[in-house]
Amino acid sequence: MSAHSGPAPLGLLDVVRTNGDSFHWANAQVSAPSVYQGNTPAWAATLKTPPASWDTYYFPWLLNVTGIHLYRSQQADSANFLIQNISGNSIQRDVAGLLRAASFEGALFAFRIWLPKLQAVSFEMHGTLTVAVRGEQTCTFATKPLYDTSTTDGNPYTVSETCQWNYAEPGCGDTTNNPCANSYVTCRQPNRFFGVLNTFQVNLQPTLTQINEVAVNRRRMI
Amino acid sequence: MPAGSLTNANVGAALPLCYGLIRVTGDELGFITDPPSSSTPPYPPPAGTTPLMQCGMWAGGEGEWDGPDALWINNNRMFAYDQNGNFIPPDPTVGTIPVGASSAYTSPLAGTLNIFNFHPGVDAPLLGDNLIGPQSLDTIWSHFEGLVTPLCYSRVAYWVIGWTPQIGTSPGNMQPSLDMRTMKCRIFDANGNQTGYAFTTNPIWHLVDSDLRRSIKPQYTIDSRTGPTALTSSEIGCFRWDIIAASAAYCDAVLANGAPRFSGNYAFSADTTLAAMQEQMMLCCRGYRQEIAGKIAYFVDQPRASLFTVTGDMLVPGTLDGDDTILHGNPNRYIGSFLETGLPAIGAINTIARAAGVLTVTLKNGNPCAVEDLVMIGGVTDSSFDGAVMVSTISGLSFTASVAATDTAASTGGFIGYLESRFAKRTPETPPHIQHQLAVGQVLPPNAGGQRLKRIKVNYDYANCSWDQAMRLMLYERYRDLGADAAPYKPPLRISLSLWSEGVDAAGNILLQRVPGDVITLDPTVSWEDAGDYEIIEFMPHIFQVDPQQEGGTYITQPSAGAGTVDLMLWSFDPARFIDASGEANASFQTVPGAFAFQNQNGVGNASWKLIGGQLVVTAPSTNVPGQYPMAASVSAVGVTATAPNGNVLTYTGGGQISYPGTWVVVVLDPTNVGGSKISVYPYGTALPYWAQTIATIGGIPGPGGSTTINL
Repeated sequence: MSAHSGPAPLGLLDVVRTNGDSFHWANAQVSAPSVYQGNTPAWAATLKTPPASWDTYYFPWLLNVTGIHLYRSQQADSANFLIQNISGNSIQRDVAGLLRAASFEGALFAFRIWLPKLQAVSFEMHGTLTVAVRGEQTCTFATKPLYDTSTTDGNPYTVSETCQWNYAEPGCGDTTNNPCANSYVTCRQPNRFFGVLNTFQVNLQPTLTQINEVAVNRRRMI
Repeated sequence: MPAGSLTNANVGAALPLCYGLIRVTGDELGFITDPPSSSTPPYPPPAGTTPLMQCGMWAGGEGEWDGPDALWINNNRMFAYDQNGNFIPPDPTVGTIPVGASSAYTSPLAGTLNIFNFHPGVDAPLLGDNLIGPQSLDTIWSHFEGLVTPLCYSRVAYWVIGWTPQIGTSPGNMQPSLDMRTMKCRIFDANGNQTGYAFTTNPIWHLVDSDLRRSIKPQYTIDSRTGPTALTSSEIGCFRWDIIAASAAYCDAVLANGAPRFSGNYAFSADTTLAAMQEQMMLCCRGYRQEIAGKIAYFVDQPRASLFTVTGDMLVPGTLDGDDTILHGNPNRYIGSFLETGLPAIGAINTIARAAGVLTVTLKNGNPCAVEDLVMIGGVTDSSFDGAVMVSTISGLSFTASVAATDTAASTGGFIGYLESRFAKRTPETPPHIQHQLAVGQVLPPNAGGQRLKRIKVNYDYANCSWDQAMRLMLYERYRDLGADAAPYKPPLRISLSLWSEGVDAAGNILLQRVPGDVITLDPTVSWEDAGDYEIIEFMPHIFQVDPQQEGGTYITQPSAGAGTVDLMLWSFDPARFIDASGEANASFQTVPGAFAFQNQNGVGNASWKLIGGQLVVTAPSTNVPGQYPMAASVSAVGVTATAPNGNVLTYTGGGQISYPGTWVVVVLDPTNVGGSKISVYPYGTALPYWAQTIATIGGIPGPGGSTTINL
């Protein structure tokens, strides 16, 4: 039996939200290398004994991981992470405070099954988070795929008089730090203007507004 | 009010995203018929003798595109390229169309192509940039007389055309149609090193490109000299290149019939999601996508080894189930809709011979050719006959053409076809799956006599595809869904089961490291009846051992339902479904064997003149021959990484001379020739060929044999 025994596998959850703050949670307190590193959140300063190495210290806040579902098809992989929301001080719970401080929407996550004895990973899943349930005692994060193609525009650019670039992005190329209004007259790199201009056109057509004709039932029975 | 008619851009539409080979008209950005008062050459025309030149601009899609293979205006061929990359001019007798010629030379039947400029859709130069790049302001704007603000249409692949209609006709506005090699894509090796940036029809590189430009690196530039912004190491790390490179190579593999296994050609012109686009791409190559530990991997369904063996001790007792519910509602008639990328064969060759530079072809059944037709020949027993020829004479079932080869040779077999008939709409169907039709069509017992076949259709859209590839793909789908069409009917099995999550097989493979799409083996100790290879369709690990419940401020942990197990959904894995033979002989009509005009449809083979870094050296000829150009300069690349994968031939030696002082422009031919782009040098200010795209201007060149270096 000894050959089959040893420390139980641990679930490690690394989270980095868009402001750069990183969080590391597990179902037991452990130190381990993390996948994502980031800034120590301001909340850490409230701890009586903050961890010496923020990005390798895992708080034992991860209560459960359910609904991991990976597909061969284009259907989005999914999972749910249950985080405790009890710890804190007499005024504020830790997780509730973190949720109020900045959004976790779209935060990157990496979940791993960690084999302490081998210092190795047997399962790894990445994606982004959304808050599914913010309860009084627990918080449930649901997931979206890291590369969520179903919510990504395949044709993001429209033939329009409005320039399709965001100001100063590489396609725009302007470096004067003087944002435009995405119009040609405000463009500072007119060669790069990503739009079309219909400044003269013969339009001798009636300008009837096209309105859907909806039949109105004037003898409603209910 | 301008005298000419003017229309502007059709706004509000999505800018298309295109990959591979397409036939396109484009979104009209502007159109004008030159007013008679215009002084722009070739006007004013002789009064009463010639119609007015029409000028237009059409947007193709998001750049960078490679270039055109052929142009038709109002159904008349303006130019094309043969399978060797040689330029094919319009029909000489129905109207020689000298590019840039006076409208006095307007063809009586086809009109005159005065201007054709292709802009690939790179980024236009910034203010202060001295580069005269391919996306610089087009000269055609002078014809619009200031009515529309000139634009570079940065990042948009577009083309401008100036065309004079036929003499004595009322042709209406010109309606151009082009065969295009569209998006250039980055090509990578198995270690994530970018090895190329070129036009490709490989669907795997289309998938990678779509991820890069929409998700991983949506903010980038496409420099006309150096290509798209280089990826950072973190961005490169978003992919499993080992898997992707292997999948790309599998698509590129040339089958017994000479065709690459999978090519992708599609134009996404309507608003849609990236997922829908990628689904279309993957449909064309048996592909599927996985995110493995945060990295994108594209697989092509293909024969592969089992990566895990399930034994009885791993099975959670009583959890193995099977069902036919998917099978029960499945269609059994597979219909593919696509536009044929091959040339439909309009005539079968009986005999073919050449002697003294004259080719004589005799067809089997009818002769559809007319004098000056551009005819594509392919599939002749002696392949030296394959190619494009212009019909000189016709007589009964025979026609003749002038050819370069002057030897005497004869052969048989093969077909002829026309470029114009490419992209014919096809909707072939696989053979019916009789066993499934019987299985779902039974309303009377078999002993009641007669068969009752329930035929259920499904339609797959393969965009622009060959009959051969579409049929192979449909046969694959049919076999994967329904299994072999043989009695007794044994359909594919769908199995669900639960395994202990810490499973490790005898070879040391770890269950939790499997991903959907992996093949695993069910050992007979799991199920004697269902033992065999299966593909993982769904993978659902239940990892945690606890189900936390709170009592009085502390958590009580209890074993959760299913803790420590992995649920799997499996589908029979039968390598017989990977069908590489389409049964071409069974097509209702043939296509002409060969690629024609479209160069190297397989993978990255298309030439590209993109130069990354380094220098061009323009060397003057050693002998001065005044009065001729392009100069006999050799233009060679030094320290240049050229992405043309097939030889990187970047030298060109023309005939003529050089006048050393003054300013010269270095131009490239795009579309390109086999082996790399032609590069030529012209005096600044002289009329350039319409295909010429300027990549640099240079000052005087030192005396005979001297050279000038251009930093790129």
